[in-house]
Amino acid sequence: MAVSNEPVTFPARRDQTCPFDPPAPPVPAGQTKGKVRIWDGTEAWLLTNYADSKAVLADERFSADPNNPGFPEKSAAYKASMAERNVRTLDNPDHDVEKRMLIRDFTVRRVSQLRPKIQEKVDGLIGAMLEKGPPADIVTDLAFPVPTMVICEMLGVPYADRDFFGARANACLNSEVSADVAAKAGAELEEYLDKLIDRKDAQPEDDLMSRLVVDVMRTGERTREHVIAQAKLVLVTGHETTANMIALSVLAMLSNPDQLEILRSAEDDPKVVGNAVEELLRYISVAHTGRRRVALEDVDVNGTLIRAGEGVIVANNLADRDESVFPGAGRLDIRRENARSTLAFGYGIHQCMGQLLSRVELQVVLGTLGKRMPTLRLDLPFDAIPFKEDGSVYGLFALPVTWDA
Amino acid sequence: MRIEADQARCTSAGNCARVAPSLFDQGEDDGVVILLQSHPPDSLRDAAQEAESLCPAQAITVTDD
Repeated sequence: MAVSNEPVTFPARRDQTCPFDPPAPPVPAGQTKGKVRIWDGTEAWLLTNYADSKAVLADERFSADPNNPGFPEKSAAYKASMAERNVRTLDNPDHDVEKRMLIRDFTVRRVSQLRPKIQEKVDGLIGAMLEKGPPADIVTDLAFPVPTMVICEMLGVPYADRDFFGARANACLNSEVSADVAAKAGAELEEYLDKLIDRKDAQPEDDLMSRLVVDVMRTGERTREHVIAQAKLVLVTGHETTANMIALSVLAMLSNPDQLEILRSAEDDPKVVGNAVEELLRYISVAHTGRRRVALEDVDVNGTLIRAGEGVIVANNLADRDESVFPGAGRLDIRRENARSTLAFGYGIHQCMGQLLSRVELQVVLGTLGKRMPTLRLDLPFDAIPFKEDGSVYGLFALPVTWDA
Repeated sequence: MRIEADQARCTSAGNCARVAPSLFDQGEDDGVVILLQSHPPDSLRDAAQEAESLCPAQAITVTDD
């Protein structure tokens, strides 16, 4: 156990000479668990290996409800803007009931039906980059537009409003934003969605918000506030995650020429592209501040007693670098056989609801870029790329690229 | 090989239908697992075991019956 009485602060900043690697785990040498201190001064357990991570995330004696005492929330901003009752924060049995109201748009069948539409959007965006000619910024020209368009269409939110909700969603997820600013951003999003609900109520369309309005709000099964909370969660968590994953994936491929060659020579083979996406999810793991839980009772986690009321941070990004599960974990290997075991989307009942959608978006982007922009390369040195480390989602502020026109 | 899928435990994540579509489907409205073959041929063992291991709700059991 820790020799020092003073737990290390979590999360630490990354070493910018190897920006794809998580900071070294702040647990005692030879250990996989330890206490860390978080932003509000409280202590929580940090779990860093694969087996413990999976065990805790699958164990419903660990609650995801931030209203429980001892819950180690991600940041002041998160606490102020993201704590309402929704699929993220509810434990079972309530969680599954709520999730089943939303899941219709996220099933394997539904997401594969969306693939041609996603392909069309990606073709359009890449076509526009080619037409305009080099250089381009992958972040603004491709990585953000793809998931934003997709989530807007699914939820029924006008794409034209993307700057408004994008900035506010970013504030809610940003650990350097104060509680007041995040609370205001959250409240503005709620007002916006409230007005949108009026429009859906007057004229329902074929989208998720309209369905919630018609199926559960009008019938009195759920309040308007609840519908707002669910829609807000999908909107806030639905685009920034995938957007940054797309940008970082493009960067990871461009800076690993041997891997890029495998992908390019596969000519959009769905198996190769599919596995590359799994490996990129594992290697990059954008949700880099861990999954947060609190123990509802004393639980023995593979030999360590975690007491009721103690907070637990499951560092899924460190678990995805567990050498006993992923040998050579620090290396990007798009042919890695067990890449699909990644915990990038979490595990347990709170595993990301948009994971299938996110995967398809990544597959379409990588497959299409390889085909249509075969000479794509960075337009500035790797060490000048601005990494975004200020929130619960790791990412890039910009990714300037060029190609042979 | 025998597969069991516990619909009450299922959390509609869809991993099973993603990695083993010949063995599992999802309900159209609620995403809950639908087992397509409870005694599949041995050639599908790897797919079945991967679905078992990826299921985030541990709702899938593969046994050697």
